[in-house]
Amino acid sequence: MPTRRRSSISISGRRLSGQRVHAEASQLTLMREETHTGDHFLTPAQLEAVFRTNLTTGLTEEFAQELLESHGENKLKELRGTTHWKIFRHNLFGWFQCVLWCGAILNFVGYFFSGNSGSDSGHSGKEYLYLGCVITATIVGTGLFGFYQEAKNMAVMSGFEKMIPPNATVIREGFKKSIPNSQVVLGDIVEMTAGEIVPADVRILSCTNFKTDMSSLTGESEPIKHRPECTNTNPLESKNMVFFGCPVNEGSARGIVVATGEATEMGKIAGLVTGLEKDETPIAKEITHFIKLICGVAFTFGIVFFIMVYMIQKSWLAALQYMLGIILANVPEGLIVTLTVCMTLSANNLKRKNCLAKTLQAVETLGSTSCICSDKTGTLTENQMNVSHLFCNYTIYDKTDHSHVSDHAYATLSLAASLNLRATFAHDTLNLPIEKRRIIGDASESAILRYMEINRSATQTRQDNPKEAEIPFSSAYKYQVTIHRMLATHNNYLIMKGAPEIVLEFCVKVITDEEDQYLTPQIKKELKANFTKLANMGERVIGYCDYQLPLSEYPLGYKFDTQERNFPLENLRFLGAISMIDPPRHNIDQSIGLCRQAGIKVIMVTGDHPVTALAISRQCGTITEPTAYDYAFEHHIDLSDVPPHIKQQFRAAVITGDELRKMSTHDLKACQKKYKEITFARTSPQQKLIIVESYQSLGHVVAVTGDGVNDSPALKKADIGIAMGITGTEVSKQAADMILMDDNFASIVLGIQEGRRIFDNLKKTIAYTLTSNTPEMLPFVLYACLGMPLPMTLIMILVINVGTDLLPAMSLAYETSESDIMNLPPRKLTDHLVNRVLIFMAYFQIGLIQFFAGMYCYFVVFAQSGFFPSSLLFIRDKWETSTATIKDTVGRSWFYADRKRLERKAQTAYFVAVCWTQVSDPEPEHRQSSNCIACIDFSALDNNRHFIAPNGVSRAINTNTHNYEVVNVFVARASIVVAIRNKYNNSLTDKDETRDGLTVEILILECAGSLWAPGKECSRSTADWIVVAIESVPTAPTLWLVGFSRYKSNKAYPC
Amino acid sequence: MTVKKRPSDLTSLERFNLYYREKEPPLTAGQKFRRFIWNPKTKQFCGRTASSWSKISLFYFTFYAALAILVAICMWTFLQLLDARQPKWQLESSIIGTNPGLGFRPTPPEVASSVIWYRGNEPSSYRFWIEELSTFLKSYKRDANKSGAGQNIHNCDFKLPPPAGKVCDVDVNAWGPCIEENGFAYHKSTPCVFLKLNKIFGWKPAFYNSSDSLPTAMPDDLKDHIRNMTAFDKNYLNMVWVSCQGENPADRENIGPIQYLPYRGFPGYYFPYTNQEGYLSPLVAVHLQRPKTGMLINIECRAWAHNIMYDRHEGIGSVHIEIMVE
Repeated sequence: MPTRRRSSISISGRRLSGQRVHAEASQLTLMREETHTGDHFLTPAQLEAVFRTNLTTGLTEEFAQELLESHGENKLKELRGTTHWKIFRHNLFGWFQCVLWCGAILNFVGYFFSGNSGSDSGHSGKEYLYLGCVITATIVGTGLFGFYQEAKNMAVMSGFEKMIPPNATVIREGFKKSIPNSQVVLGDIVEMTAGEIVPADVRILSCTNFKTDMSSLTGESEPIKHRPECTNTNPLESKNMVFFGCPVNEGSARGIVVATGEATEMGKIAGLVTGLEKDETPIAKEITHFIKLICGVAFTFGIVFFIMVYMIQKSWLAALQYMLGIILANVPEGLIVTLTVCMTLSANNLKRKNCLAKTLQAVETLGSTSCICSDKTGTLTENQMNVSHLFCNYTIYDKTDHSHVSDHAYATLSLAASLNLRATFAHDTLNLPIEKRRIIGDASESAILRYMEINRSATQTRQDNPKEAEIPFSSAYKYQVTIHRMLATHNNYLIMKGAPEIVLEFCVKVITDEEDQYLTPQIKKELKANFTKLANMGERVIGYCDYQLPLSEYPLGYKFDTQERNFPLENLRFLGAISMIDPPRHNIDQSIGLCRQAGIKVIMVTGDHPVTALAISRQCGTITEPTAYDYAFEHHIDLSDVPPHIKQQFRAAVITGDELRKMSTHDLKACQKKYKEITFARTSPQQKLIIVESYQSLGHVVAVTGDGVNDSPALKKADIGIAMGITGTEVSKQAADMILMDDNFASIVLGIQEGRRIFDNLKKTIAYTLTSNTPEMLPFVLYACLGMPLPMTLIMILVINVGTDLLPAMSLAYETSESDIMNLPPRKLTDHLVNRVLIFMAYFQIGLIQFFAGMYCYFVVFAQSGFFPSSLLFIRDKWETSTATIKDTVGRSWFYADRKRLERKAQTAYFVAVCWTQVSDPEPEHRQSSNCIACIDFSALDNNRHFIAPNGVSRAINTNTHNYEVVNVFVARASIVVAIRNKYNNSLTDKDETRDGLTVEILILECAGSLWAPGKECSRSTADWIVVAIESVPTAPTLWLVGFSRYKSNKAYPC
Repeated sequence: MTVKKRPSDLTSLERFNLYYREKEPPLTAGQKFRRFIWNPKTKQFCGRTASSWSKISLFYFTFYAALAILVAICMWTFLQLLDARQPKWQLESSIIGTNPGLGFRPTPPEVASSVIWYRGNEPSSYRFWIEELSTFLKSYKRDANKSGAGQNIHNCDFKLPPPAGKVCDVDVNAWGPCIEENGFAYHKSTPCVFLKLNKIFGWKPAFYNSSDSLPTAMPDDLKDHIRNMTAFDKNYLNMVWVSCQGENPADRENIGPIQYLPYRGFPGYYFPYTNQEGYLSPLVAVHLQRPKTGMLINIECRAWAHNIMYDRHEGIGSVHIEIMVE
């Protein structure tokens, strides 16, 4: 075993270093895998052999030096966030910018072109030059603006550096010495004490009361108490492993280094965070799509025009120049400014709401989010244990239920809980309100102290009844005992607390409000059932029992000896229990409710235990439906004993890391599709990443919220990573795209709203901007094909695009959101920012109106000066000749200078008309496109109703044969509402009816956006949609009445 | 179906999807394209069914028809309100301004050119110019059969200005050798060029009202001519004078003597032009009596009145002619 192990180390070492040179990508793949070394299984002797070290004297200096050279320093990869250069490149050479650059270059080409050949296309060379310069200026200007905006939010944040201790204590050649942490090598024997940070991944050899805070790796806030024995196959859960970067809370330990640098768990996370690349943001995708469309349109028009001009003028050069003009007319030069400004406005808007977006595009990404993977601890919860329930007198009381304070059992329990506490308030914070005081002590004691101080003034009680003796908590006997001198009764009072099942064994009686009862097996069972109930709510339960020490035997001043145990620890009286949980943040359920209402999946991904995770999920509202766990609790069986056919029926699930490890990618996807509500528990950082990627491959736009180091790979990979500003670690903030400065989940909801609004507004902006393309383009057609004096010059196009259009387009960014913006499901990826409909509308409807308006003004100006429309046709060549004179309708002859002045007047008229129609443009109302999945043939609204599903299948429903009739079919805001009424009792129904051997099942699945329940009214005013399904026997489903829902619109339901 | 599930195990929607899911093999790009062009299953042509196509074309037809009608109504109304006989903007308020330009005939075939070039001994080379002039002067020929316009014509004199609504006659025969019958004297290498003052609606020339206040820039021979003429009859002052001379000293030598017919200017009684029926612009025939052959002669002709500005570069108040006779 040891030899095999050595070889595997050397192989993997070589492979790793080889790949570091060749393929960065495959190294990343390695990091994604949770590789387990198995070092925690080995005995100290085996470890000694494997790492060629000595457990007492440590490594020799030479060998340590050799190892240092072969394995590298014990350092983490520098976490580079987005560099300034990257932001700069992104802002100046993004897709859109590249198209504009091409436009600018085309202009410069046009400039040299026309310089050589003389201007024949209606534009002088100078115009091309100006246009090129302005486009360049626009790109550079907006690019720098965007760069400034993004760089501003990119305050330099330190990554992993903080987590690395400067020095480590190692034993080498038998001597204890302090060396720089980077010098620690595999096989080093290290010593750690409280206050230090673990120098590398260490297997513990011996320890005393050694506790580390592994929250950065597992997300678990509670310090882990370590033991030298292996307790779990998973090294992360095995008690004899401590990891690089985790602070030591208590105790001291001695261990052997089993991994250093990037091979450590922390190193893998750092490597992942650094190596992972984000996909394109949705808005970037949309802009790419837009550019493809606009380029398609520009080139189509350009080529059509090229052919047209060539047919008419028979000159390649002229045709090319015209084509250039047309293409340039289509490039929306000003749009980039508008887009940047709109997004900046939104980002600043959100910043005011304590939501700092690190990139401008992040806001929109949040708006198109369809799935939020949220960390539990610190994000959904407060990351602070709090008392949630008290149990006494066979009753479970809520923490807010203060009506029983004076009851005997309750009062005794409170007294005991207040006294038996090691935790105290930190002296310097005593003047602060209780919630803000710092507490010295572990999480559960702090919770009890805080609760008791607020409700029962614990400090006073503790001063009145001083502690005489104490047996501190130990994992060996799992209880803690204190003895107090009581002020009221003047005797000594013994209190024991600990795991409830344990302390119950010390008891013979149980306190009730009336009298003490003797414990019978029956009572014990009942008590234990209550403990389980509390535990099943994900809460940590602590039991209390007491004993009034008789004054005769133990007078005041009696010397209690905790070593000798000169006091009884049996025949105690059971008082009750206190349960604690890390509670969800205030109003988190409302925020999550809003997210779900907005059609966004909220998935909890946590490192915590499944039961706790489930309880918190339920409280937060991420899980509302029963799960297999609930079934197991209800039937008092093991989770594994839940029958598979019942398991199949659940729509919600808790999936643990261990289960996840056994699943293939396909299985995971199937699970994610099958379950509406999922909570992932006991997940490792790598698994979080896998979950996120899996959702992304299902077509979701995934937002990840988290605060810990363990969330950072997922934060980085997510479409938008959201870190917590107060509780979040620096690493998570570095990896995230957005930071919630107040840790308030509700800000996410605001962000989503803002993001959706911005998308809608950008749609309006683009629609607005595009409309002016037609009136910019068609003048060239008239000029080239009909020989009319040019109604619009290139410079004017420029003035419209980057001048007059800018402000109105920007003003659309201030549009308030539609009222139901948070009731619509998230934008589908097929629902584009710019689609064909919008292009058609902009070019062929509104654009044409503008063109006609402009032409009318153009003709008016000419006619008033004597050129009637008929006299303007086919005069281009003469018109442009400086020596020729042109006769107008009245018979006057016009010289070049005069008619050019007239032409400018007409161009001005055209320009003003276009601007004016632009400004008074009917605001294009582009709502999220309707996903009406069924069309109703209204002509056939008789008893044989035809519903035409989008696949073209029309089915007749003969409602006469059933007890139902369709009473109301109407279209309400892009969805179709079908109300079905039971003919006999006049109610909307979900009852099963049997008739003629057909099972008819009516499922009114959804009504006004929420689940329909019998008795809930779906009136025309409240119903957005009802999903109705009527079904007969499955073999002949002749009678389907459809589901029309915007959620399920990609499926076709027949009717 | 491999696993027989009880129907109640499934939700109704799942059951539906079980039965109605379309199972089609994925299509190749070519197939997709062909199906896009014509999908026999849904009877879609280019992504739309016949009814959809007809609906959308109906929509666009209606939309564009409405738009066109709207614009047409606007245009029509506007044109109705507009007087076709006189422009809305006249004289000072108009763009064309109050400064009439000079034009010449025959115009060379290329629009940008101002060169009249021909060989004196080769009739085919000057036939073009003669034909050009003939077409131009066609409207000046009095045709007895032509009614309407003919009735309007009035024989004017300096003492007899035309009554309202009448136009003055231009006597073709007064141009001496420069008449069509004579081939406009092109064959003798002594070409005629006709000068014409551009019509400006409502423009009245401000004549030099005495022979003493003539501008200094005016050529001396013209000044002498004016003095001679006005000494004879004061009414001749009501004339927009015309002068033609070589642009460069060499040209002045080459150009030879010039004869202006019928007057050396445009008589005042032709003005103002108000788009009268049958109005004929007064013409001055410039007869180069002995131009040097084989040389390109640059001639600048200029019209003279108080309110005719002059700018050589812009070609205001003057015209540039190049003549080459070989």
